[in-house]
Amino acid sequence: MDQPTRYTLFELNEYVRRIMALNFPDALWISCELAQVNESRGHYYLSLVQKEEPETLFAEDKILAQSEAVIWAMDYRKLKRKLGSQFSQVLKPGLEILIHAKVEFHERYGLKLRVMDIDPAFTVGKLEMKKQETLKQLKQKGLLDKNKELELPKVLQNIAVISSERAAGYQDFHQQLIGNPYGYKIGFQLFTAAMQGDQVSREVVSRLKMINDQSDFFDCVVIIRGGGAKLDLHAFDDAELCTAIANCKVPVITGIGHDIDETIADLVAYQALKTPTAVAEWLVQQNLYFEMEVLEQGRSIKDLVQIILSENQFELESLSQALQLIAKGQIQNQDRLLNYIEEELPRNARSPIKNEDKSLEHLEAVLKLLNPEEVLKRGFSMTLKDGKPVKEASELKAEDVIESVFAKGKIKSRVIKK
Amino acid sequence: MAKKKSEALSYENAMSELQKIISDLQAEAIGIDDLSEKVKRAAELISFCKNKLRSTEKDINQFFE
Repeated sequence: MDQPTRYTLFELNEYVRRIMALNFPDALWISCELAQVNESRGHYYLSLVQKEEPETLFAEDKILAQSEAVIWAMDYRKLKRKLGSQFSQVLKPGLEILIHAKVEFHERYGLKLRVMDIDPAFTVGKLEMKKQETLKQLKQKGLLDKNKELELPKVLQNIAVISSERAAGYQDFHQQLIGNPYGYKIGFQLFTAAMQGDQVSREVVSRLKMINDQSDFFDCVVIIRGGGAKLDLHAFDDAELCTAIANCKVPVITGIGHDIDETIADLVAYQALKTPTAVAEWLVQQNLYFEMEVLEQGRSIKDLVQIILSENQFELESLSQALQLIAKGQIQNQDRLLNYIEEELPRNARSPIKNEDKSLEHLEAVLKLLNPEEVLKRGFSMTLKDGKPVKEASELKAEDVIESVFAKGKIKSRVIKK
Repeated sequence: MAKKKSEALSYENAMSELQKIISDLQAEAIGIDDLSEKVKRAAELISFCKNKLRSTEKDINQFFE
């Protein structure tokens, strides 16, 4: 039995290397997803994968292919010069990248793709496509305006903040809110979550879930992140994150640090603002609007009261005038009456006196007529006997001495015959 | 006696007393003996009523100041 040909491992690997070298003389453009990046002594070791196209947004991705790649320190420096800041932005796990790489095989280290170049435009394009796809799906599910339809409380007092403590934007937000010029005391609770990297979506979704469990307590949720690379924003286009925002039971306000509406998170949020500072200002503004509304109400109550008061004042004024007129009229009537009485009184008082006077005069006249002296004056004389008047001749007899009284003087005589 | 009476006197009472005196006068129901006293009383009552009217008027003016 012939011994089969034996090779050493090195012989095999050297053979494979030669085949590879012959078949891949030049660098190739390869599209893939960056699964992992590790740096060591200036060299960047990349894990590249290709996943099956997911049937739905949230299906688990099935890995179809996987390879290791490296950017040697020398190549890295060249690329960095060529691409600038865009370069490091593209080198993020989870991104789809287009690399220009040489396929190399090393006897000891096996297959490795040596990255010579990267096309950031591809990554941006892919992200944009993915974003449009996510947007379309969210729209179909009616999630775009779901959070906007929530009712924001008029006064914002308890705010859930999703951010990273280290994020510069969080500090700005904190200061702006605490030091608001109106002295509003706005309470907020930080729910720490990664704001960059591949953990953003998972962590933000989990914090939103925690906040939803206390949705009665919080007036709104704020998601803030200060500045950062534009490519980092793709985390806020993530379907799962955006769905969680849309379904959040409290209004979500975003301040992700860029122009508004660049991410889907902004589109599905209740309110999107440019920066964390702008979010803080907006929150304060809401409370200010409320206070102004209250003051305005107060003013209109005051105005209304003023109107009611002046109406009543006017009515009182006319009543008062009427009252004065009536009261004074009454006094005038009494005055007239009194004046009349006063005028009449002397006349009334004198009339009995006059009457008495007349009676007295009459009596006097009568008396005068009856006075004996007056009778004597008219030629009559009076006859007395023993000092008493004699009224009948029968009272006398012959020889009686009688006295005759005249108006002037008196005589004594004797009765001669009877 | 008149003074003591006027202390508790009301305008209404004063006026009715006054009118009684006047009507008695007009009906010649007052004798000469009482006349002076009654007329004096009437004058007092008139003065009392006038004062009452003036002070009431003053009060009213003060109320509406």
